[in-house]
Amino acid sequence: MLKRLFAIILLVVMAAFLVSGCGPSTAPGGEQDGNGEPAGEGEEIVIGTLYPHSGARAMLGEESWRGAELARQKWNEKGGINGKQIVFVNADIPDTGAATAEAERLISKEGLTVLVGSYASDLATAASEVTERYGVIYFEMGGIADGITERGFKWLFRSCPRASSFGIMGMQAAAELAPKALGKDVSELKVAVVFEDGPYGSAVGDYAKAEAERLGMQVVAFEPYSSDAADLSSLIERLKAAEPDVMSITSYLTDSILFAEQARELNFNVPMFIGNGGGHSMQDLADAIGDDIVGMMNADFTQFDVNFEYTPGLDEFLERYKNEYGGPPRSGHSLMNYYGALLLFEAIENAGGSLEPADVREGILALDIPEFSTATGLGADFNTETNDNARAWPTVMQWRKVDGEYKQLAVFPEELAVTEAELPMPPWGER
Amino acid sequence: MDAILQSIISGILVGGIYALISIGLTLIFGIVRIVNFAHGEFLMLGMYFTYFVFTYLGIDPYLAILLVVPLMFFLGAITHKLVIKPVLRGTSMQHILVTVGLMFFFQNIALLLWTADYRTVRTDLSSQVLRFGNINIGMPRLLAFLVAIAVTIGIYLFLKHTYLGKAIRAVSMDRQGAMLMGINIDFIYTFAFALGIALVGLAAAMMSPIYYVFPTVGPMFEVVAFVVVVLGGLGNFTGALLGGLLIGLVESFSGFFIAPALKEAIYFAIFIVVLAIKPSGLFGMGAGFEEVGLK
Amino acid sequence: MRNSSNILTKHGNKLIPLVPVVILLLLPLLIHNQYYLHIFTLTFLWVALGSAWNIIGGFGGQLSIGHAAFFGIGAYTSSLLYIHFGLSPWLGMFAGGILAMIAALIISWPALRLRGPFFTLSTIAFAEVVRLLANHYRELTKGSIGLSIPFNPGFVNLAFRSRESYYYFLFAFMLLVIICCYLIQNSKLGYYLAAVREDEEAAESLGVPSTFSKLMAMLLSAFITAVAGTFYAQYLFYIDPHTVLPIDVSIQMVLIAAIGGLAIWQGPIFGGFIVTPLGEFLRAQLGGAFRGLHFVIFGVVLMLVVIFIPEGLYPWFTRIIGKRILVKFGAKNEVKTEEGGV
Repeated sequence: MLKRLFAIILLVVMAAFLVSGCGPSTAPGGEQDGNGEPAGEGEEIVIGTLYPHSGARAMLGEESWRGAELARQKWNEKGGINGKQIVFVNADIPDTGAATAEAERLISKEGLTVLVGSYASDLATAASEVTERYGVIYFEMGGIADGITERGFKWLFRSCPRASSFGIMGMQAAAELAPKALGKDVSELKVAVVFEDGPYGSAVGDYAKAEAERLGMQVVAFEPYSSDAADLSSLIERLKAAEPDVMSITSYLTDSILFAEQARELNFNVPMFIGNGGGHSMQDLADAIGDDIVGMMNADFTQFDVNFEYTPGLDEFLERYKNEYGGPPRSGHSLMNYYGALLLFEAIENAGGSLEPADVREGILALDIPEFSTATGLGADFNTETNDNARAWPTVMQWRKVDGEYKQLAVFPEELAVTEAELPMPPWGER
Repeated sequence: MDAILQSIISGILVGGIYALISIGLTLIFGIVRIVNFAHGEFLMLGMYFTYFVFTYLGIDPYLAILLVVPLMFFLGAITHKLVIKPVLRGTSMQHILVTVGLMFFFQNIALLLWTADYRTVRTDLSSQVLRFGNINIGMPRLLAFLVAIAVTIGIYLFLKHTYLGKAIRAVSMDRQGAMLMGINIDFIYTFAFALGIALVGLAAAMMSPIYYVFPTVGPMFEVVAFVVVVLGGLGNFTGALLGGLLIGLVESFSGFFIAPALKEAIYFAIFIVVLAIKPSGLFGMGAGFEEVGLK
Repeated sequence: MRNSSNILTKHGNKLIPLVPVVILLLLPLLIHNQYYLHIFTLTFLWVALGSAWNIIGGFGGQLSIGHAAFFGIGAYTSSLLYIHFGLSPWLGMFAGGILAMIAALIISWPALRLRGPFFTLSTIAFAEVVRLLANHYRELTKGSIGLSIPFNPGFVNLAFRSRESYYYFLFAFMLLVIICCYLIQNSKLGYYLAAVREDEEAAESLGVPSTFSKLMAMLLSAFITAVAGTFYAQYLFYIDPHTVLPIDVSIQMVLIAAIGGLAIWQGPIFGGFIVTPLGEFLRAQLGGAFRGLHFVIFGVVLMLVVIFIPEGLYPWFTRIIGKRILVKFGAKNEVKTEEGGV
């Protein structure tokens, strides 16, 4: 009896889901999900957002989305685009399958023509396959893999720096800063390139290696590893044997903590340690390893301790973030998406408020914003072969302890620098 | 030379952690005859409990064991009542599917309740290292290793010398016989399942100072725990300990000599080969396991 | 009245399966919403995958959670052949299928000697090895950066601009797979598998070649799964180990077959048409606001089905609901045979 009852309940629940799932198709102009605001018919500027809000990448996906959301609020407060308020339709894309499906949905069911996203490179790659075939604008603000834009897509643009620029920037900082501090010639510098073997790490690692070789340094270790690994001691032992002067490492958060803690345990020291965003950008790493983070360098999206003179609008962003989310940003992703979304809104405004892909495309290509005049310090110029932003690059920062708080101070390039890099990094326990 | 010695030590230490996780799994596997695919998720819940006890009550993670282990025992008992027991008489297909459902459920309920944020439990002890020349031993790892050994001995003594332990062994060797002898099988199963979950709770508390807590931390350890359990021999506790250490060593050496990114692939390959050659595991199974599916 | 019910009893059973086929054939003419077509296309793919899995998992009773390996091998083989040698994916899918069969042969050697959880664990380990290798050997697979397949529309390249083309191709593929499964179930191999599934020792003592039967089922299953992998790659135009090789793909196949009903050819159809749209819909509705809730619901549904309706939804549905409908039409005899069959 109980069995049958449960079975019937189950069937009813499923039927309810199916019926309600088909509902909106028969009733066009229904409620949008996400903001719960009604769909606009020319009254509003409706833009779709694609970020992972669930699954393993939910945290930084959410952080990225917050930046775009704050940009939306800012622009709406000052009157929207040509008097029309901007509305987001938010979609959750925990994996590539979902990215494809949700891009489909936003385009064909919600009828959107401009989508933004996505924090992760593989998600961006998958989603843009869909948008391109529909001839719809896809504006990527956080996925850094070079491959995303190397496919010759017409409707895909990217505002954030590319993976290659991370690897390159880190190595250039090393070539600039290390010889003096370590008393070695560039050609004598031994470099270890370490990266998680996902799309993000692989992309950065390959370019870091190429750039190090181009600059004439010796690459003594090139080590991919899995970010799910429960133990990195064998990797660290290999690095110890290679004795590098400079190490470029690309990690997500959990593995960056594991690496730091195990390197400390095994007493592996390297004079110049350069992370490439991801975990090495995050406050969580500082919380986990404490003083030992001081001296680590990090090439990443612009963070918050930079020269404010060259990043106008950054203070406003920080205030908005604090008011909305009750704390400081958890990483630079929010800022990068904030900056990206503002660029897009400006482009749409330039295009006369039209959401026609051709007009928006025109508007984006017309953007000509000099460097050091936005909240990230980056400029905007999308007239490149790949529709990438030619004026986007990462900043190199160094972790320091300022008034008892761990902060990343910009040290390279010079304009954004607020202090000089301190090298070599002292051994564990003496930082 | 130092590097090799250090690799051995690192391998043994991480092996201790694998063993600690696997003991609960082998207990459930061995007695309740269920492959618990949600084992990693119980580990995750245990880590969250430790984190909450540590953060909100300010209790040291090692002391938190006193709260976390009973809590996990209770959770295990409830899970057994609601989810496991109804399918116990079913096929092994059902066993696997129901625990896969449980896995989905726990992973995502954690995401829903506690978000995907990474949380860490760190005390002064976390960063302590014993140094002997160039050989380094992390304190929390050493403790986890010692606890793994202690638990193995403890379980051994418990099964050997207590009435309840003897009843559990009787059930695992011969269900029908035990039932005829008046042993309450139902209670034994509930108890064994709950004990297995309590043990993974213990592992969770011991691991909290080393790792970090997030909803999908389970899969990181789940599959390796299966490998350890099978290599060690089903229901064989010393086997689980030795299997854990062995996998730790394999991982450490293949990572050092071959490639860090391939160490999982290598122990999976070893696992398949062992299954092909000696499916009863390297160290022999407990008695009465033919019916689980081995010839 | 009497006449019509007679017609139904006589020909009804044969005609009923044609009704959904015709509806699905006509659907793209009625629905122009690309998103719904996309969901249907995905559903066809997953029904085919669930059915392929069902050959070894359901008919053979061997619970594999490693089919992602075959899926990935199929996707990678045809894509790499196309990218490097311009080989048409239509041919590439056979290459992928054959490679998957070889892989199946390799894993079957140890795995098919094992039973129950041991078989399952060895398939998991196998799929993980394939995934890790695909991730690591970047010269070949580009690792986790993934492969982008150049988009040159045309029949030969199995690449189309319109969603409708994919809809029909995958629909045809699904039908083919379903027919395959139907034939297998009612073939000698099917009976052997059923015997082995029920009691391997007894079957062997009666002269059923148990290992051979399981091996055949495994190979067929691997082949079809790999072909589905090619379709998937050609549909998405982008594959990476994370998309085509994770354990989630294997689990999804199992879910579809298990929820629908194991060891009957109709099961995965039923399961696929419930699980896939439900998953897409739940994520679309709940994803933004209650992250993770859709998987919570999935987990609960799965547990409820396994606990309360272990035979799967299709047999249950035909028993509980179908009985009433058929009884109404006065087809009592049919009901009895149906039940006997289940």
